Amino acid sequence: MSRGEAITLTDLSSDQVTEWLQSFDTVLCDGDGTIWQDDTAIEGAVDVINALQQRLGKRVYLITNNGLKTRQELFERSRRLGFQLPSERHVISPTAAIVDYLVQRPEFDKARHKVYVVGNAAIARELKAYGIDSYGAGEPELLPPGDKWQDFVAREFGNPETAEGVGAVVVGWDEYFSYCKMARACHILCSNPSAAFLVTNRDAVHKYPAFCIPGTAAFVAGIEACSDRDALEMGKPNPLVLEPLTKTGSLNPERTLMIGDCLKIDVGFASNCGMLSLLVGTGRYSNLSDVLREKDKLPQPDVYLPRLGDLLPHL
Amino acid sequence: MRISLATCTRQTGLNMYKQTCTNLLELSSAKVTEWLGSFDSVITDCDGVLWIYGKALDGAADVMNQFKAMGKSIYFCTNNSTKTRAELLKKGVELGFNITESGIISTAHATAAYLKRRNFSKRVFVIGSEGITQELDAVGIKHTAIGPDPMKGTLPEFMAQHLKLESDIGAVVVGFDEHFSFPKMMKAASYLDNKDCLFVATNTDERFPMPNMIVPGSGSFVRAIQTCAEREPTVIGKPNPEICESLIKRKLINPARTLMIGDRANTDILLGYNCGFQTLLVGSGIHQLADVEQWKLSKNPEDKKLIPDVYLPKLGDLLSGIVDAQTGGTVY
Repeated sequence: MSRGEAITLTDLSSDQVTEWLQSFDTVLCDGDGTIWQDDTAIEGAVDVINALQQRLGKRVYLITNNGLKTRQELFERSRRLGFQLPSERHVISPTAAIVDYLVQRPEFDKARHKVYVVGNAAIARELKAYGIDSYGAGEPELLPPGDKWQDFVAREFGNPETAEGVGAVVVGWDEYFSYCKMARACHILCSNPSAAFLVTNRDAVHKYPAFCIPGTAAFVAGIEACSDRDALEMGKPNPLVLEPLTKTGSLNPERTLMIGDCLKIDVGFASNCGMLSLLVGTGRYSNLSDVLREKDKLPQPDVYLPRLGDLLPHL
Repeated sequence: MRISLATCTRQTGLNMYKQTCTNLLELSSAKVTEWLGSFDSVITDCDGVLWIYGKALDGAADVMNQFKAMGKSIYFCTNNSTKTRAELLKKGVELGFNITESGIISTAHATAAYLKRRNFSKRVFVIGSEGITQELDAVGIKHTAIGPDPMKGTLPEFMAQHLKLESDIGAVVVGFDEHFSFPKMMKAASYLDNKDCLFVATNTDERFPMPNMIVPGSGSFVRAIQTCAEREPTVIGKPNPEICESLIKRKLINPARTLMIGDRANTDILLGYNCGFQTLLVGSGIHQLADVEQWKLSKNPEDKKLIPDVYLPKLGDLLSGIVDAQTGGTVY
């Protein structure tokens, strides 16, 4: 079967679908818009995921860019909705990828180092679950009344303790983003060149008819500009997040299928990692013509289905 | 009679040292005199060239005042949007510089002028400081209030109870803001979703010039906003040549006979390149000779634009050269 042709799977013969099903051993599956929408499963998704594991013997992993929940919390949601993933190690998410990365990084020593978080409390919870100390998550930091920025920087950055022992700066979605946090993150990164600089994912903005909500990419862009350092993206489409699985041989990309709803993030991830791809129309795109319209700008999937549940009759 | 090279320079506008980063301290007295005769106007950056924070750099005022005494026209050109021209004038005079308000080019002033030229008649959403709002007031342009705008409650609570988007915003202006916050980012992104709303940045210096610390500058706030707005701003300050356009159009300066002095290559020297000025890099601020060496070795044509014509460790080092030129030689 040709790659990137966006063939509708249900247009194929039964034999062709069977052949396609035999071309992969592992399945990576996106969350929102693919198998669930927040706390509600998308119809048919539970049956398909469970059948892929139990009837066809595929190894299945959930891979989401949701940086607002820990690996354990996402695993618990999956169980609650009926998905039968073997363990929380079958959940790949930004907070989990951050911890997996820090734990194997030689320059990071959790006995001596703490992490400064410009982001939400889930990042702190995940770090804590792995014995890593952090500060700043989920908290505002404003200029004290009457202070000018020069007073703040003189007081905070004139003190060597401010950057001491901080082994990483992690940026996630932060509704408390402020000048002080931005300045503090920059100061730490410039004072500690060997500190890791990580970001959960690079969504730029979430647009709605009446308003636009800044995404994590906007927060990290300000910090990158000032510190003149680039953050490592700990989510799709960065192939880095697959390393814990590829390095241990748990997964062979050539025989892995990535299922998702977003061309840029999910199909892009499949392309970056050399995996097969299936795009479903229950999220970002609701029909095939919208997908094909992006042909010149965005990567195209190998196969397409209106929804994951459509695969069930073939399993 | 042999025509002097200085006369040739005047006649043809030939720039002898173009993009060579020649160290003026290594030139003979005669050559420095010749170089001094090759420009009639001087545009200089302030932070890192004339002063650092609150203190004038050694010899800088003497050099600038001597230029003025030699009959050269003097302009201060700063990307610092936190001060009005009147405040910059006051600072300059207090530190010993012989300067008038019309000799000051500031991004806050230029931003207001930019909007005025376009007959802007709506309201400006400002992410910045009084430097900007006072200049907007001076030309009668309405704007939102600056100062703290902290997040209130969770996102749903904020959106339901506190977020107020105004209907008459025609431009978002972003400069230096010590009260930068998520609510301001959200408002800016929402206003800028309308293609008719202008997006203006006072400047893109990522760091605010501070002696011993790396701290965010306007450019970092602009980068955050341009990321969530998914739009590029019109940048008023250096290196956008528009900031000097008025001087050139009104024939107040002749680009080939104008010297641009700065400490930051990607704003000051690049502005010089963009306007066809001669350029002098001083090492008392951001960029050093080592940086110039990198650009000389680089394969990227954009990096070549950052190489100055001439260099000095600091502006004050030119004083003896000026004295020699005026007295006709070294006095023993």
